[in-house]
Amino acid sequence: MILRGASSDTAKFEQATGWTFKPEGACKGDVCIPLSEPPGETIDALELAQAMGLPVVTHADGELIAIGPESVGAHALTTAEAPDIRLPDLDGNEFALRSLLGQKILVYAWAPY
Amino acid sequence: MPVWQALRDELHPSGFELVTVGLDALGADGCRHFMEAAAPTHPALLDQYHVLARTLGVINIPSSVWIDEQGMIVRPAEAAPAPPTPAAEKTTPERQLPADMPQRFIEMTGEAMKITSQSEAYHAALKDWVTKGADSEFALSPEEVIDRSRPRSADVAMGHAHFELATALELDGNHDAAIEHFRQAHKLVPDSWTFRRQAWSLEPGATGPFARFWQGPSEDDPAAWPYEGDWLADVKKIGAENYSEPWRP
Repeated sequence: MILRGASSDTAKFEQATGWTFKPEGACKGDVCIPLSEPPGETIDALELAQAMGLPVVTHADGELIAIGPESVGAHALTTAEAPDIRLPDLDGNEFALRSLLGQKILVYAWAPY
Repeated sequence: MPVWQALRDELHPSGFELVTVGLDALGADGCRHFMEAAAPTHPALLDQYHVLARTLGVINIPSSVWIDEQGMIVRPAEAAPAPPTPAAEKTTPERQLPADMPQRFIEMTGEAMKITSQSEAYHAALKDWVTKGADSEFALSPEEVIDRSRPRSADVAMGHAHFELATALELDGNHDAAIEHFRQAHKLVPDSWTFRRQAWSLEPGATGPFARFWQGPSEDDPAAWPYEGDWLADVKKIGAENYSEPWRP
């Protein structure tokens, strides 16, 4: 996920990284990373990424921050539960993949290059 | 994509939906032309930061991920060949190439023609899954889905962070800084064609309608090319027949 400054809305962090904060820590599927204290509504994403072992790359003294995915399971998928992917259509309207629950879905990745 | 639209229309009454996702930092500017031409009746989305790479392990296009009615992935990212074409409709490459096509494109087309796919097997499996659901032998268990998803070391994860930062820098107009992070992403995620193709497509190797498919040094100033590889060189190096991993049932 991309951040401009380290402060992040906790819900946004959860949606973008796929990790959910529970009493036992940050969890995805069956995997939980213990945290010393549960996050509030806003977090220091840099500190949290460090605590969770997520990779961080910054530009211009931390004005622009990229937090990468986990490698804890050594695979792209930590769980077979489909991630909460939300992407815009051509008109800029956000579409949530989960709105298609109840149907079989084929997600087809293409590119114009 | 029209062939996928036709397939979607055929399978939609059986509870199937197609979601196309255009992976391009340029977003609507890069994808609009193709999407409007396809006039999709299914969700058609834009993915500027390659969220599908980070979250699902997509490394090349076209790729697919199958998700069942409960939101469980039953097949992780894998090459998604176009539906098989009846032999009578197949055309020779010579008939498709304009006479004034640059030599590089002729070579690229030649290599692309060598790329193999298991279209018949893939599409038979897809229809089997749409019909039988969890009873289909092609619907994998959660453990198998995770196990078959791309390997992700700490280096690979770091490469994804570099790629996202590069994309943000590119969108900020900071192209030179973006190149540095694209290079890091290429080094750390060497199996990702999309990470390379995306970066290559942002370099002005050529002008005109084919500019983004040039994917390599310009003829006028080849020394200005900022990346180690390019599409033609990299495909020749690995052999076009190895461009897509073989489909596994």
